[in-house]
Parts: sequence; C-alpha cells; structure tokens
Amino acid sequence: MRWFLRSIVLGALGILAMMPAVGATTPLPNQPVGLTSPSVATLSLFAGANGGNNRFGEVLATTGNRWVLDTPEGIATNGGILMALSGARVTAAMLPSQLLRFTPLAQADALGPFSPDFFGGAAVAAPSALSTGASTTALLVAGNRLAVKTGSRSWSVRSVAVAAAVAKACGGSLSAVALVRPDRIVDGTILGHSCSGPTWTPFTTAGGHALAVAGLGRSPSLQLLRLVATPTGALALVQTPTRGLVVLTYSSGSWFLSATLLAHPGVVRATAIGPRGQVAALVIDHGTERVVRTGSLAPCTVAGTWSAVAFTPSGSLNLFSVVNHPAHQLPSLVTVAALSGNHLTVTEQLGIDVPYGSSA
Amino acid sequence: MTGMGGSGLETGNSLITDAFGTLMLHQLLVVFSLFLLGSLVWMLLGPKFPATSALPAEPRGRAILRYGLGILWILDAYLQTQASMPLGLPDGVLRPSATTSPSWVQHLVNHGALIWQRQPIHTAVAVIWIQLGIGLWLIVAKRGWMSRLGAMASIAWALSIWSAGTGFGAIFASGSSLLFGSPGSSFVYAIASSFLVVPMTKWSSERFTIRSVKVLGGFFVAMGVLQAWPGRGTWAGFDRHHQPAGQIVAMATTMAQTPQPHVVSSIVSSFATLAGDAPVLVNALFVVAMVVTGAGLLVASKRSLNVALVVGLVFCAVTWIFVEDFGFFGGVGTDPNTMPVLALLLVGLVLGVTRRPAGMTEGEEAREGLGGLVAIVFGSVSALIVVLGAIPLAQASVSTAVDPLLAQAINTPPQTVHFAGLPFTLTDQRGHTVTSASLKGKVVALTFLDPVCVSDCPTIAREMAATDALLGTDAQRVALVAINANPAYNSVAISQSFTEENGLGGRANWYFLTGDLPQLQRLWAFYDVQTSNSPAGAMTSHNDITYLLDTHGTVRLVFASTPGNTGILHASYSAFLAEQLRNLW
Repeated sequence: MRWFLRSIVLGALGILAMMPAVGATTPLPNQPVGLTSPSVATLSLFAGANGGNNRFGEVLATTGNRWVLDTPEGIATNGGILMALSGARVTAAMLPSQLLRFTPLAQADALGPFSPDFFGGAAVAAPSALSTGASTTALLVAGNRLAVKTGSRSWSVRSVAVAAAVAKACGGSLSAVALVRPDRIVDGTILGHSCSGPTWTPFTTAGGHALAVAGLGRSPSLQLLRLVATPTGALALVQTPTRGLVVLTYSSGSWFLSATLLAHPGVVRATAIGPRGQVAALVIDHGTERVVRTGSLAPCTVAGTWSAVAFTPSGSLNLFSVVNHPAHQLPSLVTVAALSGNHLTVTEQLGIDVPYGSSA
Repeated sequence: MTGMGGSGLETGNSLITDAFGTLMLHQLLVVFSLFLLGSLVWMLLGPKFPATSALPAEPRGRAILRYGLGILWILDAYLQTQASMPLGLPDGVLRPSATTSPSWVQHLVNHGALIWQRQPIHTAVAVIWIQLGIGLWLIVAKRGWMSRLGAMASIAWALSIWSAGTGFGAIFASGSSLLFGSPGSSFVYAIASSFLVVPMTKWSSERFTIRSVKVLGGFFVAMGVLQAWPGRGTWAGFDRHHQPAGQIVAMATTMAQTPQPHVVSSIVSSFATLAGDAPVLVNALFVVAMVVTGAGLLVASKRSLNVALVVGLVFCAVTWIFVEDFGFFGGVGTDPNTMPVLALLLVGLVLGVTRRPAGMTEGEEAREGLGGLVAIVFGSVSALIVVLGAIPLAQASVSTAVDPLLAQAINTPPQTVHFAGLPFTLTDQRGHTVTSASLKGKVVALTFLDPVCVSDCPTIAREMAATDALLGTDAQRVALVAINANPAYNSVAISQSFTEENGLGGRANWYFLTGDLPQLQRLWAFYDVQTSNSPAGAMTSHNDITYLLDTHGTVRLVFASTPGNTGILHASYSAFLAEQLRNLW
C-alpha cells in the first residue's frame, strides 16, 4: 500500500514539475498595444465598464502633438481591435463579438477618418493576428489559415498547415504574423508561435520553412508576445521563463537576439514598439508597476495605475492610465504621462465617452 | 435604443393579458354550454334511470377526500385565471422550482416551461379547464367507475405537474423540507387521489385503512427526522449581521416579501423574526409536532389517532400560515401549497379508520356500475371540460410553433397604412441590381439592417430565414428585403458576409440591398429610419422597423420589429411575419 501511495505522490510531483511556470502562459487577451512609425503612433486599449459587453476597444493616435481618440466609427468594438501600422497607414480589424461573427476592417491615413470599404469576404472568422505592408494586408485566421490581400486584388486564403503543424508539435499554436518585404524572405510572411516544449522552432514562413534563432537556445515555455514587420525586417518580443523579455530582430535572412529586458518574473501588461525598433513593456513585478525598455536604461518603477505604453513618433515614451465610471456612465478618463529617464510628467487627459450599453 | 438590444416582455403586458382574458371568456361559454347540455340530458333521463340510493353510503373519509380534492382543484383553476399567469409562470414558478435540483430535473422543468412559453395564452387557459374539470368531476361523481376515472385523471394531472412543473417537488434538491412544501403539493394530490381510485370495499377494510394511516405516520416521522437532522440549516437563525442564515427564517423572510396584503406580510415577518431569534425553539416545535403526529398514526389506536389528528392539523395550519404564507399570493401562485392537501389527507385517512363503515360487499360495489345518472352525465361534462384543456395542451407539447402575439406584445401594435413605396435601384448581396419595380408581383417584407451589428440585426435576419421556412412553398410569392442601415459599412462584400453568416445564403428570395450613401439616406428618410454613428466604439444606432408591401408595391402594414431577448420571442417574430405576409395575397 505504501509503495502505491508513494508512486501517486511522485507522479503528481512529476506532473507539477512539467507544467509551465506561472507568468509564461498566454498573455491577457486584447492587451494594450502601442505601434509607432516615424509619422504616426497608435495605441489600442479597452475602456468602459469592466467585463461583459460594455468594454470597448478604443484607438488613440497622435502625429506628435496631442493624443486623440481615433476609434473606427459605425461598428461595435467590444470584441476588441487588432491594429497594424505601415508608414502612416493605420489598419484596424474589429474582432467578432456577440452575434457579429466576421471581422470587418477599417483603414485610415494618419489621423484621418477610417474607411470601412477595405474588406473582403474571405476574412470571415476571428483572426489572431494582423499585419500590413506597403500594399499588402495579412490576417492569420483560425490558427492555420492566412488571408492575404495585395493591392486591389481580392482576398486569397491559403492554408499554413505545415507551419501550424510545427507549432503544434511543440505544444503551441500559431499566434502572430508579420509581413516582411518579399525580397527579404521567401514568401514575404513570417508566422510566429509560442511553445511549451523544448523543441521550439519560433518562426516559420507561410510556406513552412523554419527560421532558426541564434543565441536563444531551445528554452521551454516561451511566449511570443509581439511580431511586427520593421523597415529592415521584423521584430519579435518573447517572454521566457529564465531570461525575462527577449527582443529578437530579423535581418538578412536570420534572427538575432538583440536585447534582453530585465523583467523576470514580471507579468507583461502592455507593450510598445517604437519608430526605430525600440521596445518598451509595462510589467507588474511583485505588485509593482515597472517599465522596461531596450537600450541602456534600467527598469524603472512607475507609481500609479498604468495600463498602457506607447512611443510617440519622436521616440519618447508615454504611459496611459484608464479610469472607468461604469456605475455613473461618465466618460472614461485617460491620463497620458511622458516618461523621461525615470521621471513621469502628466501631459494631458482625455475623456472618452464610452457608449455604455450600446452593444447590448 | 432600438437596433441595439432586445426588449423583454413584462408579465402584465396588456396585449397578452387581454388576449388571455378574451380566450378564457370565449371558452367559458363552451363550458356553460356543456353544463346546460348536461342538465338537459339529466332532466330528460332522470325519471327513467335506476336510483342508487339503496346502496350503502360513501365512507366518510373518502367523501371528505373527494370533496376536499375537488374544491382544491377548483381553487387551483381559479388561481390560474390570474392575469400574470401566461407570462409569469415559467420564470416565476416553474424554473425557480428546479434551480437547486440536479441538471436532469432542470432540463425536464425547462422543457415544460418552454412548452408554456411558446403558447402562453392557450396553455394557461388549457390548465384552467383541466383543473376545473377534474375538480368538478370529483365533486359530481360520487361513486362508481365515473368517480374512479375522475380520481385517475386527478392522479395523471397531478403527476404531470409534479414532474415537469415542479421538478418533483424539489425532492432531489438540497435542503428540502416538509415545511417548504416538499415532496410537492401535486405529489400529495396524487397520493390523495389514489385513495379515491381504490374500490369502495377497501374503505371498509380494517387492514387497508390502518395500513394507510401507518404509512402516513411513517412519512410524518421521516419528515420530522429530516427536519431535525443536523447540518441542514434547520437549527440556525440570524447570523451575526442579523441576516437570515437558517432555513426557516430565510424561507419566512422570502415569503414575507411576496406581494400580498400588509396584514399577512406583517404576520409572516413577525414569525421570521421569531424564527431568527429563537431558531432552536421554533424548529424543535416543528420536529416534535411532526414526530407526535407520525407516532400517533403509527400506533393507530382511536385515542392516538385523535391526538395525531389534532396535532397534525395544528402543525399544518401553523406551517401553512407562517412558513408557506398561504402559498397563493404574488400573482403567480398556482395552489395553496402542500399543507391544505396534507391536512385533507390526514383527516380523510384518520376518519377512514375512526368512522369506518360496515363492510360493503363486492356485489354492492358491482351494482354501483358507472355511479348513477348524476355521475354519468355531469362526470361526462366534467371530462369534456378536461378534454377542452387537454387537447390544446397536447398540441402545444408536440409543436414548436410560437404564438405570433408575443412579437406584437414587445413592440407597438402594427399600423395599417396605405401609400406607395419609394422607387429605388440598389445592389443585392450577389452584386445584382434590384429595383422596386422588379419586386412587383411579390409581397415584400422590407426592413433595415446593419451588417456589422452585434445584436438585433443578425437576430432579425435569422428570423427572416425562419419566416421563409415557415412559408414553405408560398415563399416564392414573397421577397424578404433588407436595406443596409449603416452609413459606414455598406459595401456589397459586407452584405454578402452578413448574408452567409446568418443562414440566408441559399435563399433566392432574400435581398440585402445597398447602394451609395445619398440613395440609402433618401430611403432611410422616406421609411422613417433614424441612423447615426457615435465615436468610441459604439455600433450604428437605428430603429428596428418593418414594412409590408403588397404585390403592387403599396405599403400596407408597418410595425416595430425589435426581436426581444429570448429565442421564443424571436420565433414569434417570424411566426407573426409569416402570418401577416400570408394576409397580403
């Protein structure tokens, strides 16, 4: 009997040991995402009552002066928004919610009004990633299909079964996509995925070619947080259980480990990618909010309740807090602060009149 | 805001309550006619029919059970006439009765509630006649097979209610107690009725009558033990924040909040305070009363039975008034709960022993036959009244059709109009040009939908598909038309995606039309559709409105078409739309 109990205890301990570490699991859905090009910066975040259908995805944007509300109109954003930025062109994909089961897109130049005509019947499922290039848009749909639209041509959907199989083989799934210039990669598209096993092949092309990463090793429980195209290739932000946040860059056909952000064992609340490939993340580290950035800057603690970060086109870093008033149906209050060194300065406040109840 | 969320349906909705009252009155005329006919037959046949007066009198206990049950069924029928019944019963009584029961019980009760909700008016009226018919049947059919058939009908109906209507009286739920009605009044109705089914000779049998009271005694003792069982919350009162923590105080507090005369609620509130402050004393008294009653019945001597009768009746009365709060207040009370029928059973069975008649022979029983002329004639009339209710109830049970009146009830009544529709040239989801002229010759349902709406519009579109299915082969005479109501998202590609996503892709008579914004705006203005876009992630707002055009393109009917917030209300919209479209050709 005793050996039987022992084997149960040992077995349970073994299973526990194999489980991924806390903090390396799937990040919060619809995390605030900051995207910045040299001409425009956008930030997508949620505002409104907590939970239910009364939380709305909002887009803030700036060309360098003040942040303004730039949420696409005419459609409920309570399912969340996927954002992509290419030059000054902002593309938003409204995720399905309630009885809306497909994904309309909208596109705008800089702070101009969104045009909703940019849409194809092919994109009829919930996408997990969106990327735009100079004339191409790609949506990763249902984890194994890539919907691509180039120029004025209609959408085409192709299976990325090989890449999906690579992801699945290590216990992960395809979760991100970046459109890279076709001359820099075989078919112009990189797919990324997370992995909970030791056989991580982090990136594949849409055709299924594996793209190795030098210097990272095959560490288990890796979480791909961001994958975006940059003027020179692509950039990825990966959360690792042992090395904190790792920034990978893709250039000349290879991935390189370009920076490590000391955030272990933090939980990432929001991320931002700057106009020159800078990366910043807002993390919760033992209950304290800290900002970690690439470069020589050490992590800094930021007092207050911050929920998002974004670079401005000039490269300075802004922090955002959102205060909602669901009970009184008052506007949500967004406070913007500039982070200079370790010093925060509140620069502006925006009231967002969140449409409480208008999606129910 | 229309187009953004469904409306519910209030239990006091005047359209439904008026229709309920009207149907009830119409069928009451049928009931009166049946009685008049029965009376005529009775008068004509009376002199020619052999009398049954030579037979031994009906045992006292049986007579009390029979009359008592008959009166209770008639009272239940009267309670069913409350205006809140059609819309209030499923969510006010049926589903709550099974909330703490296992999922299979909830599933069964939910099935019963759905039957009711699909046809609330016809079902509510049907139940009135079934209960009235059974009550009258038990009263008028004193003896013989007509009496026993009435009792069988009573058992069948009581068990139907007990299973699909009350989730087996919550016997599978945690915390069930005789004080709160467990094992269910309808179950006790069925047990009491079963004593009317047994042959009359059994009531003369010492063995049968004594065994019956002993079984009832065992039931009381078991319920007393259950009430005394530790850990079930029966001994607890108020918690340290003076909030109800015990079963009895919680029940009394809840019942005191039921809409009822102030005098009654204050009595129940006072008892709740007592049960909260002195829970041990109160529960001990209930336990003792149940055990003493049960023990008296188990001993079954004349003296012990009298003691059991008195204590049991006091227990039933106190429980009925102070804990069950009479059971029938609140607008959707269906019966006076368990205690009156339990008291009736107690009295009937005890008198069955103490007033046992001299033995009735089997030959005398055989001579009863159907039970005499009154039983035959008025028993048959009562049976026909039961059938008057049973037929629509059976139809509702096997049909998924939904009353179209529900869709009207959540919106303003439809308006009859007469004006020419506005000519248009638009593009459908296939990219084909559709004009108002091309639709002539067909009856047209014209509505306005937002293709990226997250709530009402997809629902309305799906009900359009359901309407198409309901119309069957007549659908080819109908065009189901929606005009885009979103100032921003109005491309053909979006119309196509919306169509596919909402199950309308293969329907030849479905047209989701769009065009340039000025033309859409002209149509919105003509058909009184207000659309607007707001910032910060709101969907486009617009009113839900539907027009019906005849085959000449003349607008004939307009109605608000907010689909409501339940599947049944949605289905009612399609039933209503199909009905109105058929009226136009």
